[in-house]
Amino acid sequence: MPKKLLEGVKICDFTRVIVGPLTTKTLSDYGAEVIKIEGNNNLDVFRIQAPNPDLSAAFNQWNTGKMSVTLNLNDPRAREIALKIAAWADIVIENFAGGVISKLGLSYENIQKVNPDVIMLSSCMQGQTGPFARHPGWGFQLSALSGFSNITGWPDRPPPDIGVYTDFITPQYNVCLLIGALLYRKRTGKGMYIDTAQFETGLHFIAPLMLDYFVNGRAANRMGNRSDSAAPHNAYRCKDEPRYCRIGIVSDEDWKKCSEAAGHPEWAEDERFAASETRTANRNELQKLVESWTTGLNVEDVMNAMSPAGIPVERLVDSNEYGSAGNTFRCKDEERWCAVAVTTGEEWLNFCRVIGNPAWTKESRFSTLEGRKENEEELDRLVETWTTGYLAFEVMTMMQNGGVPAGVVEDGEDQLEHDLQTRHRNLFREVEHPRLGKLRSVASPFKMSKASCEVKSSPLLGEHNEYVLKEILGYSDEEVVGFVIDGVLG
Amino acid sequence: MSVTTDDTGMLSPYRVLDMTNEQGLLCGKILADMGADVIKIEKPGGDSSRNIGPYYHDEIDPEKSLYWFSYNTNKRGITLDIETAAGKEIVKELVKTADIVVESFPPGYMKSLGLDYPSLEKVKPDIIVASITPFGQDGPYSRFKASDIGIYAMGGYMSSIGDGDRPPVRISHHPQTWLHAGGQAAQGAVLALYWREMTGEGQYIDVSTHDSITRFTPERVTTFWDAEKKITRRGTRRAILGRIWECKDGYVYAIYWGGEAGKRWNLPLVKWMDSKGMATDFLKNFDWDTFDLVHNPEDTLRKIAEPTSEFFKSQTKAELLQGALEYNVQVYPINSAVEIANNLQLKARDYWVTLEHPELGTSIMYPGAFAKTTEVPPQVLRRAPFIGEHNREIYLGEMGYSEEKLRELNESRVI
Repeated sequence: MPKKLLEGVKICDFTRVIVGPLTTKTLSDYGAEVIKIEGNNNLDVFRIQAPNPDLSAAFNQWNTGKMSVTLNLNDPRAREIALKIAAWADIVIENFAGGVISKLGLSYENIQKVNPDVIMLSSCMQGQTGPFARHPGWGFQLSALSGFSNITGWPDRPPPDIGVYTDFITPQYNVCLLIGALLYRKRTGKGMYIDTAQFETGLHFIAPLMLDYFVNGRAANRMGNRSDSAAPHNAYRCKDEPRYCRIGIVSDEDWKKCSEAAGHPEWAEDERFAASETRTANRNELQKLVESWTTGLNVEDVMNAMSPAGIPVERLVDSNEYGSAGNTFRCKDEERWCAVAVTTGEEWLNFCRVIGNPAWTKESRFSTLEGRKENEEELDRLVETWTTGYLAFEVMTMMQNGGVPAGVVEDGEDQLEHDLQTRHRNLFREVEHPRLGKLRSVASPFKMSKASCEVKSSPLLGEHNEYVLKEILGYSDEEVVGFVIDGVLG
Repeated sequence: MSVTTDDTGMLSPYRVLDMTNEQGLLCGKILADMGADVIKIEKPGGDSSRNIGPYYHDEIDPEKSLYWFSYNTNKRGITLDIETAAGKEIVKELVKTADIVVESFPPGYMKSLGLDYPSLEKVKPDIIVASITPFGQDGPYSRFKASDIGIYAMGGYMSSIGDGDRPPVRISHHPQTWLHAGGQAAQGAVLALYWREMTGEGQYIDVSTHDSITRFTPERVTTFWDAEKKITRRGTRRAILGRIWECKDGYVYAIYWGGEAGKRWNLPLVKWMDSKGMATDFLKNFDWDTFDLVHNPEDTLRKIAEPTSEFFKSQTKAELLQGALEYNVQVYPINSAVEIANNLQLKARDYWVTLEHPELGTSIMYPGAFAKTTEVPPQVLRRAPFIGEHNREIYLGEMGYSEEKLRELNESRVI
């Protein structure tokens, strides 16, 4: 029976956004007790972005299973409570810009006075020392600073925005360090202070390119999807995928609103669709009429158009549901892609067989990797004459069955609904959130035979104020009421 | 736990057998940097990852792969053909002295050799075994062939990266997906060590590279689940007010943030532009409280973008980085290796480490420790091993084999 691996490990968590929260999420999902400290004036950014601090699905991704305490750290009494939580903890972790935590009286030295063997991790952008220690930033900019943006995209164009890539590198090192520090403390009784910089951990993922520069004087640039050792090697356009939506039209009033929202008020004037019964009787005509509008739009566009009118629109994930009732409509087809990589001679022969050995594959200029590299633009075009004939998942399945590495360029829908392996490994767990209902939260990418990764809901803001203050820190009812009245817990 | 001679690293009491190829090397590298005794077991002739470039002075040679150099520092290296009967016995003998085994063979391969977790557990009951595969040990895609670009695609990261009029793109050059899998395996390994210290039990860890990438793309899933919307490729060409700007010698990343909170970052940027005489009256008088990238008219966005673009074009990456610090603005250059190598912050923190390569008659700079700590810090101390470099040290010195036995193993090509 799998058990909670980190049962009894206590964590005082001042972190926000992704790097820190993903670090403590990993520990929390494996059973550690995590108290996340926020303040109403100092919320996790994901809570700020949501209409209400408790309505952020993104926050839920990175804060599963944690407890939430709100402290107004401008108030000395709140800082005292924070220090008590730090004294209770085995591990204190923060990711403010360098130096901020000390200003709050929560420096490693101060915490050590109340918790001599504490392990403290500061995980910021560029580290706690040096001229840029206090320079704030996000994963977006650190991905630029540490070289990833520059090697992504097309050599003839500016690099694209690659998102917060380095945000997902640092937590891997953080978890290793924290567990390593716990092991060291168990052996020696000593805690430690750990300083990780997103810049520095990120560079480990481009180490070969740094060595290439130091040794060969070469600074790598963008090369699209090309690879020196493989061709074909790209994401190839496949057949466009039909997309459908369901529009919730029940009453005559709904139909009127829908017509107006679609920019076609004349629909509501049409006798054939004036009443619920006639709309049912003339459903085929109605379908054609609405589709004359929806087929030019993505599902999102239809949602955006209908949402101000309060007409519910949902995406049909299962295309078999299309046409089953009179309220489903075809939208604009979606462009789809599948990545294919042919490295070895055997894979090239397999590839040719899968696409039916067309004449061009027998041309001598394509028979060797060197030849294919030389004629790669044309090769890519020829590959697409085949891939565009099939849906992306069909291309992947045919290629894989034929012994060629291939993978659909998956979007959120694919990851959640259509990727059979992700489902098999139960990577996205269903979590019941008190305000948002059922959510899907990501579990660990590794499975341990004797310990389970349990993903629980993220906390509402301040959900555990009473529990933490009374049960863990031992404050009395009166004291807690006083804190509430004085805005200490804000 | 092996005999502790000195506690110089967080993991110094532990020994790791690294049987991975390029698809898992980072795991052992992380553990080795933290002080573990990591023995890289290569097939005779050398590991396949030695065939990945770039190479030292572009000389294609398994002893000169910079990819190999990067991800095998601090490890010791031995050669061993684990498919031979003698080789299997040697693995088992080594496992008796080890705490962790990491491997990246296809699912079922270790079992076919009688070296899977249940077999190794019999040899060493508290052994920890971590397997790194593209898709995990079982399931509908477990036998799929993997490529970096394929896993990047399936992990969801590519779908939103790139220009709308071209294919989705991956991060180029050496595979990133395998590094993420290695990093995840290292976390599994240390967590398992912790469990073993608490209970005395070893265990098995099944790492999926696919899941390691999917792990960091759940905002696509959240957006889909929560709002039934998809995050698509936007690129930089279409946005009027984008985040990637041309500068004098390349590109720079800068965001105009919306809402009241954004003022904190937007105002000092305008002040900085004004100091160079490049802020327009429109910018200087703009009410940032009302700034909203989605709802502001295009004309407003253009009036913000145009002078900003002119300003960035007039500055180099180095000037922009320095100015950003001075004005406390989140402007960050899109660095190439040149700027990273010369970065002042990394120098101030003594980040780079120089390792001796006496055989090449040179020394090479490497990314240094991935953390600074007050106790037993991670360190990068020793270059990656040559093929079979530590055969004598380990087979003769530590396992007590005779010269004769070593010669036999060499001649029968076990080593």
